[in-house]
Amino acid sequence: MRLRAAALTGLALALAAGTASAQGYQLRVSGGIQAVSFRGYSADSIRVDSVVTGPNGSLETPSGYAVACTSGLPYCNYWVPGPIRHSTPGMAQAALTMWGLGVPGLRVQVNGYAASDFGSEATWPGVNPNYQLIEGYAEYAAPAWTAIAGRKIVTGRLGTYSFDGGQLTGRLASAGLSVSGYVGAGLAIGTNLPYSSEDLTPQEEYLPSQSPIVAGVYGSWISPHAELTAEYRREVDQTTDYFGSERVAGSATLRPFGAWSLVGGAVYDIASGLWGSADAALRFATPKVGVVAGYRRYAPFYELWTVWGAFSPVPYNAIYGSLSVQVTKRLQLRVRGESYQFESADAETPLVSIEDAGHRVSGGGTYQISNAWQAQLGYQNEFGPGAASSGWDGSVTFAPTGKYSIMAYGSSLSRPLEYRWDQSVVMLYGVQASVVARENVTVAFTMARYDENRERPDAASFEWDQVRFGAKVIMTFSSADRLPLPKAISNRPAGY
Amino acid sequence: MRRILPPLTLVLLLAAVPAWAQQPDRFDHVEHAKVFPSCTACHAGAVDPAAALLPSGLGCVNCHDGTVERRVYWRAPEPEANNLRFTHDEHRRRVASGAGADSTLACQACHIPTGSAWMTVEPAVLPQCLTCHGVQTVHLAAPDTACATCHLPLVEATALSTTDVKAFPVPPSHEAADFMTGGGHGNLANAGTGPTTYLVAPSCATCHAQEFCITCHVNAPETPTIQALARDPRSLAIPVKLEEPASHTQTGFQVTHGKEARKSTAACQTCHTQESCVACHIAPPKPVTTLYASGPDRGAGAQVERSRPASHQADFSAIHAPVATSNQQSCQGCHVRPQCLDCHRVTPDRTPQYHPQTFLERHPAAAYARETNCSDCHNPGSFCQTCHVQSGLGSPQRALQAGYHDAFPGFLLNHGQAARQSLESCTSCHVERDCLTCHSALYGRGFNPHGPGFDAERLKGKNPQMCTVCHGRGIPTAK
Repeated sequence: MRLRAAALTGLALALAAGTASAQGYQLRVSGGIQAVSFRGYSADSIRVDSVVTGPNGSLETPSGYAVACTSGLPYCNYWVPGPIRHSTPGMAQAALTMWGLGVPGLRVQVNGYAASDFGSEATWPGVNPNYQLIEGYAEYAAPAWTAIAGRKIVTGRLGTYSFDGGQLTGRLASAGLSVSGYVGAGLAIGTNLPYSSEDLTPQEEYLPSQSPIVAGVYGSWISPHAELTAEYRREVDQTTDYFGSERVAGSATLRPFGAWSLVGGAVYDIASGLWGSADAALRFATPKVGVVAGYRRYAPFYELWTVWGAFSPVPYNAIYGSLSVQVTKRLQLRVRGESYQFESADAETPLVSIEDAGHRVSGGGTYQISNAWQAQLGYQNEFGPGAASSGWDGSVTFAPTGKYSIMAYGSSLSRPLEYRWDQSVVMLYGVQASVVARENVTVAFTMARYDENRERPDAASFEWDQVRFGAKVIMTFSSADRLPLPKAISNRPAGY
Repeated sequence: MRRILPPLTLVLLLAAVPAWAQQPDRFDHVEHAKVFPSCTACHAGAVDPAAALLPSGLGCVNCHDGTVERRVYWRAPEPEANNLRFTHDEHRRRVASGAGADSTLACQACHIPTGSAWMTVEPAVLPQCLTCHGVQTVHLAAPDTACATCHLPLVEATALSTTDVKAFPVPPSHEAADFMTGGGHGNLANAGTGPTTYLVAPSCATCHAQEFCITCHVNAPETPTIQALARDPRSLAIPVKLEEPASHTQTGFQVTHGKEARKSTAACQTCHTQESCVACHIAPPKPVTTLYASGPDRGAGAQVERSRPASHQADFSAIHAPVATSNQQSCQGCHVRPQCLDCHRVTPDRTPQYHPQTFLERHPAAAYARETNCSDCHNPGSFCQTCHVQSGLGSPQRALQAGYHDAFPGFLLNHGQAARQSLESCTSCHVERDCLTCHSALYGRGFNPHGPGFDAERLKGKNPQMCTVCHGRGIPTAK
């Protein structure tokens, strides 16, 4: 841990010195705060002899809460609506890219944040520890190879993975070949934290005491009509030298004709000997029509330092399709559907009937009323094991210039659960706005009211509402006078 | 209007009559064919450099005295501006030195088409000029060195105005499909054919000067062919537009252009400055440094504007993974790293980005049967459990307490199918020891949790520590 802290400190100092001498940089600084409430349940118990029989014949507490009693135990359990917890998370994030450090091809990337929950009733996920380095590395890129050292996130079919270490990539540009290898100390999945962090185990689950050694290889071949990739990654527990995981994956994108493409790939878990997630889709995309028809298989993945894999989670297989049509210059319609079926769980459940298939459908449209006004309407319906949901959403946006926009939106949601008597009905309506205050400063805020009704056939039913608020400032500083960057993902709202 | 037209017409006529009256009469050679047996009688300058090439017109009154013939008004026209190297005296001397002093080359050899009648003269019969000079093509298709035989380079043709330059005819070579590519006009300009080696083809210099080339060429200062041309701003009168090569319009060029650029930056240098690249590239890749920065005497080159690649359609975010992972350098051309991490590494700033506004409310349905892989971005412990524990859904100390899954009274004894289908959802509230209460071989009730596809030997080989959690040191073998 001391070594890690020293490395991070050294990196920070190097960056501070580098910023002063770098000829080129881009720095994005953002700060925001939110006010959010949530409400759950509290468990309680009652002596068996205090339980009464309700009007419909079920067992209840005298105050009307449905109870569950286990034969032989002197008490019964029940759940009552929990307290409303207010959370006020605030965060400041800085993302810096520097180049021109005196060595052509040398570049430095740093991305980190400071966060805290200013409320006292709850802890917002991700604010502990208060300072987190998402990425921080130095990169040297020559035409045929690239070397990286520091904290890096690699992405691919094997998932997004963070590690502290090094990565070396070689390229044979004339042949479209690229091979990359990396090795380092792995961070916990989905976080910027080492496995030894207490923040990963709010319920004191077992995790390795040291970060595993991760090593991986990534190869790709690209051409105008095809892209092929292959990945391999293994994690080894430093304390025991046992494997944490060992997987391999392959992906392919074929574009035989201009508008047609075939995208697919699969993961194989070498450690368990089981196939993991896979997918294949045929796509047709033109500026006016987009059609996708595909198959996918989802299989959970667990590292070997947990016992969850021994419980044999089963995958599901799904077919899906989507269609988007630019009907007129102003109107776009889209629809998507998916149907899935779990593979046999090989588990007897004679007393209960559990769903083993589900579907997801959604549809909607966007109408560009004028250059400044846009309306959007959508519907989604989801049904499957454990839970379902359905609802409408709509919005009207006024954006007369690229400098500011305001959107009013609303949605309705009905969300029944399968294993628990609980149907949540939520009505949401709010506004969000963003203003480009200066060329490099964007300010955004949102305010929304949530009316929630937890419907149950006993006293645990409740209604409550809340107003959520958020404000955010994004500032971009750059050594070069350039156009604003295009959005990485076009359907994301600006700022909020 | 009717009242205005008649007087207006009268005024215009009165104004035009004096001007018309001053127009000199035309001289028609053919009409005078029987009058003039010799050319040099009027055009003495053709043989005597000291004499005028055109007559004064005073001799016309010998016939046109108003009695024998009507009186005429004729005067020698102003010589037209041209870029000819030719003078009659020089030409005559050269003919004499080449063909012999007794050469009988007469005026009609150049000025009367072969086979035509006497006095059917033209300023110059081009095919006959070309034939004499050994040129086998039509005028504008003549070899590059042939141009300089008769024509001055543009920079020396000082009599030409910009209008004259703009009116230059276009040679057929310029209409070729590949003329604008490096292999087209570049090769022609470099072709120093003929008896003398030229730095730039004289045919180019006849009509063009450096300024014309600099209109497009970023690499003009480094290109000897262009530097061999003199400077003359009149060359800008010929319109030229930098055109996109066919390769640049092919599908996927935005993605693959880096590969081409690395192979040959020289090709890029012709039309692109470094500014072309940094219009999109945030941190320029190395090939960019081999391009020239914009500056004086250097063409502005192609003006690049950042635009969405054709592949980036509305649903591209859903399928970008294979492309992004196989060719990250291409992505980095336009995107900075933080943009990727906005979605791939969540922060406490959970404003709607990847997920829509109401996703928190509807996430149970999406999470139970993994609409996407939640744990690719969210840590089950620090993310899911942190919230669920605070919402009263934490499981420690309550593993066998019935009640939460109250839709099925016997759920605890019949949860196997639900657990295997949605184990990731179970683990967002439950921890391992909850399940080991019953499923451990050591201290539980010994319920076997292993299901379809469980390969005990393989897993034991990879990590036996996992087995010891339930089996202790006595891990059973399949045999």
